Amino acid sequence: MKLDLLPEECIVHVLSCLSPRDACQASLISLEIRDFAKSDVLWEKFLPPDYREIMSRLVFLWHLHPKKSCFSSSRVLFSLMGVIRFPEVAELKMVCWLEIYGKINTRMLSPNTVYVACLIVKIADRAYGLDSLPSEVSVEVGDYRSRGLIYLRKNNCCKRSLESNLIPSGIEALRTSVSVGEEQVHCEREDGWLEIELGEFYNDGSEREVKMSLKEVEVSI
Amino acid sequence: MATTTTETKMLTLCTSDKQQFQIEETIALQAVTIRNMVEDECASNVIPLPNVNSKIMIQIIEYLKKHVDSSVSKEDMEKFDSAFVEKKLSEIFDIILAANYLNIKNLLDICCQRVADVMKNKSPEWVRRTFNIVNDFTAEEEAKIRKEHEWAFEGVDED
Repeated sequence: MKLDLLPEECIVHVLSCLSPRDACQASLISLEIRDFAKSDVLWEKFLPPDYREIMSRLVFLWHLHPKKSCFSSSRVLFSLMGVIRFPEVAELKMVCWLEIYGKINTRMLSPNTVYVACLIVKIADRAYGLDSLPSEVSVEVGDYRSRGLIYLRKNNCCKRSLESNLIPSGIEALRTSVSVGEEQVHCEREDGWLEIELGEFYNDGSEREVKMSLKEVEVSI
Repeated sequence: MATTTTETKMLTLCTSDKQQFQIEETIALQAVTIRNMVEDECASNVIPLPNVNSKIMIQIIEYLKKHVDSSVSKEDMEKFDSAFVEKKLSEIFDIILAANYLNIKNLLDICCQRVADVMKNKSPEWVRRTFNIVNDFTAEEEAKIRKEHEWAFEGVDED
């Protein structure tokens, strides 16, 4: 009895009955099984059947991945990107009040897994003012809510905008009133886009709605 | 297997060890491979199944007989399925090979799930031992993969 004597499609079938985490572990069994565990055929099976339609409706690219899962997140995203090119992305040219909001049902995610919700954005070189005020990020699942403060800016570029110099007290007030954690550092991906972490939540497997948002916080001066 | 109803059409399946099984056509046609053979009329009275031995065929017929019965409730069918896969892994592997060849989707699903259930939350070493797989990674390669997927190896049962 040898698992690796099964035909290719049967090995992929067995792996697809595992959780994404177990499938990652399986990549250490043998060279041959690692190839199956890495295959897009397998990771496509972990996606909801209507993911193409979901992706086609996307304006902003939300990215949910199991916590600390570099492998699986890039793999899932790679599977998605492999099939779907994004013909269009939304570019915000001018806004006075930024609020980005998205939701997803937990049935599309693996149960018993801690997920990190990210917003994937690219900040144009000519952009200014996005980081003059912090933005509030939040993730809500049922009664659970995680909140944090972020600045929309590239890590290597610490633009000090005029406004923030003018109203430092406002910013300070904001930090103390809203902030629940340290300011997060955005992770720049290989393709130059930023992954902005909005928060994390635990998916216990029950069917609930995850609400994710990023908004400029209201500040009274 | 014999039936008194005259209009029940029977098929004869011949396994790799030359054993013949007479079963009702409706039962046998659940296997897509057999259905295609019958539809294409490429099989006469006896359908040769050179990839399945009689020991496995008996079990597959048991499964097909249950699943052709529309009076069985969904709950009872699930009970039957979970009892059906309570077999030694070596047998499950043989059934997977046969179900894949005969193209019986549900049977393939439950058997693959059974193998996956064994692998769940187990270390790669454990899986290798259980399934007799040779570790063909070098120590460096193994360390590299462990590092890449560190998150996936937390809290894994070592045995």
